[in-house]
Amino acid sequence: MKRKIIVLFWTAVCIVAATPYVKGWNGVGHSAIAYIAEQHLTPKTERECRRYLKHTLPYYASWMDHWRNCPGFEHTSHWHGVPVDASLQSIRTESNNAANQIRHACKRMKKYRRLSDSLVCDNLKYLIHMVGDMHCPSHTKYVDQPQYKNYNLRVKGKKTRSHSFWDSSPSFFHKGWTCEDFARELDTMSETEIAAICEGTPDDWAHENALAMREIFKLLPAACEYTDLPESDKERMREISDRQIVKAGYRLAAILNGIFDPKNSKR
Amino acid sequence: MKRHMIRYMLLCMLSCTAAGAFAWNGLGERTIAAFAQANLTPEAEKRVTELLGGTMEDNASWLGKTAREERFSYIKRWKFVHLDASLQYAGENSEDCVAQIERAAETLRRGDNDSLSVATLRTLINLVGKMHSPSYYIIDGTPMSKQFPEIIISNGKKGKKEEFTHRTWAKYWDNLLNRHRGFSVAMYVEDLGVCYGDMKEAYSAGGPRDWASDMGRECTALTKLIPDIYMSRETDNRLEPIGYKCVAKAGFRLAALLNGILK
Repeated sequence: MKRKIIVLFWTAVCIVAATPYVKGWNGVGHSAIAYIAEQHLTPKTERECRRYLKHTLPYYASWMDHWRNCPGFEHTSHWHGVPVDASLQSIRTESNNAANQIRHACKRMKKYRRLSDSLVCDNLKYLIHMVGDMHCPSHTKYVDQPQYKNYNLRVKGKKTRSHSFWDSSPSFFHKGWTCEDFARELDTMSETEIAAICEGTPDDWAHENALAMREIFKLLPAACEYTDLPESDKERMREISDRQIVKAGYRLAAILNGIFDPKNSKR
Repeated sequence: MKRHMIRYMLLCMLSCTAAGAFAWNGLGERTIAAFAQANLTPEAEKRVTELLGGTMEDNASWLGKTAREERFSYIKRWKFVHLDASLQYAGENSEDCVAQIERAAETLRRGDNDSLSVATLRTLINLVGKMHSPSYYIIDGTPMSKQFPEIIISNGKKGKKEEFTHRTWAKYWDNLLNRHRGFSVAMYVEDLGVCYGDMKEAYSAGGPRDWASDMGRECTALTKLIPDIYMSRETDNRLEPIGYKCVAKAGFRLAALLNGILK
């Protein structure tokens, strides 16, 4: 009995110790999005991003999550999701809205040469994270539709929240994958398809996400046990998670190319 | 000297079989080794590849795995670095990390035979990485791990949502690179090059004793950032770049050491 307690205790300690701090997409998802984006930057954009960040894009992919609860950054704590109204449009008057903050950051970055290096760096870190976060399936907030709220479900008997399920979906569906694995497997679209995905504005993308992500509530009903769901539904959920990751990567690249290399941006 | 030769000979016997970690975790060790390899001269890289029959990354954790064998348990003592109060190296008469690096470098420089060179090269790859972890520094007789027997890290949330992660000093640094989920060794190598590429010359200067003193200064800077065993999320965030810089230094310095020996 004593031995069992010790084993359980150390198992719990190991789980706590291994728990990452990150939210939104978990760290893997954010890193993968930034990595995919980096593969689609023009040489000039990549050079400029690295000059200001002094790192690659994936290094700062979860930076906003690491700092959101620290003094001075509390106001960014709610810039991770997109509230939408009854018509599924992003609410533009809401400051706690990733789509609005992306728009503001893009506007500031239009004249990036006039900004201080540290301000350009900060805006880049925000963009890298928020473009990823706004594509996370659980990060559309259906303000006027209570049926699309966060709820409990079970995975192999373990209680979890639907929001957490989707946040961790990249590593759940692809255990052990590195960013390179995600890029190799998901970044397979043609230039024409990528251009079509990158059309529009962050508000358009938010609307598209809001329309599409209602499906996840049908696929993963409240109080369900994931393990018991039909394999076809599990496969569809994996497809949704994968597609949102790759879309976010393409769109992040398009935004950055538009800022630093508009002449060669395909948008 | 003869005693150390015998020990390396014993290590040679294992070098054909063993392929684990102490100080940085496996990912950290492999990253340092791969970053070092990316900074080798063509001559040094050719000789390293000849000796190892593979990459430095593949051989990064060999010493840690070897140390787990009972008969090689004395290797575990090699992880410590002794500095005096003025942060000068003070481990001449010990079997600490710096002393072993100096002995291994000398053995590799002499290049008596290839199997001995393989064991010493594998030893160097691991120990130069290890000496750049703040985990096992003993400054003026006080181990860093005694100064911080436990670190309790807040998730930064307020009230009931605040949670704490408990880590030992060594475990904290072991897990440094786990912060960037989904990163491969190649991604770390690329990022370290982007971040610290222009510091290569400055970081590579000097020898193992100078590097130990430099790490002593990094450890002192770290202790100033950590007021007590309770660490805020902000402090945790501010420590990460310091540890990351140590990883870069380790890679550059391992490359410099091997470039100097394997001309």
